[in-house]
Amino acid sequence: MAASGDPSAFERLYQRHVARVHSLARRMLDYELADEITQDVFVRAWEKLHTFRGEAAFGTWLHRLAVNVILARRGTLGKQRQRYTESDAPLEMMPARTGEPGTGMDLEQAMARLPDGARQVFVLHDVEGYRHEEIASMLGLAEGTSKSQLHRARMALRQHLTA
Amino acid sequence: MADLWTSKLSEYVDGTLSAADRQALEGHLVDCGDCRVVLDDLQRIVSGASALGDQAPTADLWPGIEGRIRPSVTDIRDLGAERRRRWRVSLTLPQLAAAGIALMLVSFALASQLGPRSTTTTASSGDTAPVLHVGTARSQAVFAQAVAELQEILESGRGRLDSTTIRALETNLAIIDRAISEAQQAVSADSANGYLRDHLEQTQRRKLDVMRRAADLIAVAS
Repeated sequence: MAASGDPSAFERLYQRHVARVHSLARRMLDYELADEITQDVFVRAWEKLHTFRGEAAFGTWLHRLAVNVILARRGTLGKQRQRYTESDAPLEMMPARTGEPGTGMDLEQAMARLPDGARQVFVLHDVEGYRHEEIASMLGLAEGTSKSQLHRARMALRQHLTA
Repeated sequence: MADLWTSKLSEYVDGTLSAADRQALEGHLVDCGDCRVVLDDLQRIVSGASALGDQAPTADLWPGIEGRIRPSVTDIRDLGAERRRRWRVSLTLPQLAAAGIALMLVSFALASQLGPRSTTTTASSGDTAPVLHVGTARSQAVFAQAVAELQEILESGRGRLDSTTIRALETNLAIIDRAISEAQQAVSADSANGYLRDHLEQTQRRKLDVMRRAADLIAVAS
C-alpha cells in the first residue's frame, strides 16, 4: 500500500520503525540532530519506496537507507563542527561514571562523547551488529582501520566508565 | 598488562582472533590480572551495547514528514484540477467537437435501446430473452456519424499525440474493425440471432470508446 503511494500506509511504517531510526541517528550523530535526520530518512524512504523490491525485510532496507542518510550528513557536519574530529578530548571532558561499565544510560552518554570515527564504528559494530567488512565499505575505510577504531572506542568508553 | 595484549582483547571478545593468537592470549590471561579486568570490562561494554534498546523521539515527527511527502500527492490532485479548469474555461475546437461526439454516443446508445426488439430461444434452457435490435438503420446511421466525426478529430489532432499512442490507437482500432466486420457478416447471415446483434453492438461501442478516449487526449493536449 505504501509502495503504491498511500501516505496512510506509510505512516504505519513510520510508527513501526521510528524508534529504531531515531535511536540510530541519535547515537551516530547527535541528540539535537536526531529529529531532523529521522525526518530526512523517512522522506528519503518515501521517495525511494519504488526501489524496495521486497528481497529483504522492510526494516532492514530502511535501516540501511538510514545509515546512508546519516553518513551523508556526517560528511557535512565533519566540516562544520570541531567535535567531529579524531581528538579524545570530548571523552575526557565527561563527568565520571556512576555504575558498572556498560550500564545503559552511562554507555549512551559516553558514546555521545566519542570521537566521530570511533563512534560510528562502535555504533555500527557493537550496537547495530554490522561486520567490519560492511563497516569498512560504508565508511570508506580499510577493514583493519575499522577494527582499530572499534578497539579505540571500547577502550575510551572503558576509561570513562571505570574512572 | 602490555599493549601487545590489550590490542588483541577486542578481537578476542569478538571471537575473530586466529587460533594461535587466541591460545597465546589465553595463556597470558592466566598470569595477568590486569588484562583479565580489562577483558571483563570490554565484555560488559559489548554486551551492554548490544542490549541497548531503541527509544522513540519525544516529539511526533510524522506531521513534519507528512508535510514533505504530501505535496507530491497534492501536486497530482492539483494537476487533475488544473486540467479540469482548462477544460471548462477554454474549450478548443477539438474539445467542442469531442463534446458533440459525446452527445452522439448517447444518441447511439438510445437508438440501440429503443430499436425494435426480437426474441430468441436459448438451446440450453428454452427460456426466451429479449435482445437489442442494433441493426436498425437509425442506430447504424448514428454509429457511422459518430465514427466519422471522431475520425475527423483524430486526423486533425494527430500531431498532438506521441507516436507510441498513435501506434497503439491504430492497432486497437484495426482489431476492433475486424471484429465489427466479422460481427456484421454474422448478423447478416443470421439476422434473428440476438446474441450476434448484441455482440455487434458491444464491439461498435468499444470502437467509439477507444476513439472517444483518443479525442479526449487530443483535447487535453490542446
